[in-house]
Amino acid sequence: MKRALWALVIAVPLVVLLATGFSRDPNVVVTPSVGKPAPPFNLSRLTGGHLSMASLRGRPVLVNFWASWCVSCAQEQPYLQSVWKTYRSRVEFVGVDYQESAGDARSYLRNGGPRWTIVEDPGQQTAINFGVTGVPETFLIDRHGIVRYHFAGPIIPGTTYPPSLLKSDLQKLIGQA
Amino acid sequence: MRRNLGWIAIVWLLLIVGVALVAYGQPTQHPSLAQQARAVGSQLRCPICQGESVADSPSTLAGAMRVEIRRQLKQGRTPAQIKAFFVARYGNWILLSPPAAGIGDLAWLAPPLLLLGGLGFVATLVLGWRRTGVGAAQAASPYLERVRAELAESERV
Repeated sequence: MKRALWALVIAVPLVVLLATGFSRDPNVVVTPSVGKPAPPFNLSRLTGGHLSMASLRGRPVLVNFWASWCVSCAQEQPYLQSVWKTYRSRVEFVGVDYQESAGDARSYLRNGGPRWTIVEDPGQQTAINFGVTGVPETFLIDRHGIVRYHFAGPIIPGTTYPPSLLKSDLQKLIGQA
Repeated sequence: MRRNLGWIAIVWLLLIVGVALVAYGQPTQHPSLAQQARAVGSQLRCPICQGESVADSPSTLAGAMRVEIRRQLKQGRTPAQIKAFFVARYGNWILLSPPAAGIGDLAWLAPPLLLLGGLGFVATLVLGWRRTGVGAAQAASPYLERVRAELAESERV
């Protein structure tokens, strides 16, 4: 009886620990930036001129870190394009080019890449400030400049953050006072 | 002669202390910027690698993080402030050693607790054996009794 009790005392916490560990999605990246002001930036647009975070205040913003060499970014691009078409008048879409030369990015854009504003991030300082671990990674920022949602990975059907969820989150940001 | 030996021992002792002071008593040099950057980078996890530090990883992101560390060191920020900068952006996960606070305490307490638990288990086991008397159990074994009887028989023959 005593032995069975000891076995339970050891086995139960072990099973709970393993169950918690194995039920976690290793691809989910928890960022502490959610709920905090978006990091300020002032980056060069690929098409010329600059874009600062401060200039986007007053409108919800979608910041997408991407690169033309990134396969997952290419996968999500048609879906993001479709969301952009629906929300472009109400949400500012910003693509931050990640670990890539401006020449490669421009050539990609000429051949049917994203149609929203694309900025360069030389030295990846903005990516580090956002806590980016890889591409694609997307942040939704409300009209007051606070990061509200974050997803690391392609926004495509079948993932934990499909385009339908992105639309619903954008809708919430648009409806927010 | 005995007195001389005492003096020789004292001289040797002074010599050893003198050499130790020369070898280890040198004023410590202030670490260079590269050394400080490496020290900070070796405590941070490369976000896209498997168990590699920012200091050791050849990835472009780790390289950018090393540049950021050097930039902040040049600005006069302390290693603790730089680590706090990365924690604010990536969370505690970015630290290769979990902080000794909150849930991080568990990681630090677990090894000594497991060691104590293991020692306790072994001690209980040994005490149990002593109480039940393993030797007595062996003596009571019918097979052992038979072997002893047969040995005694063969000795008689």
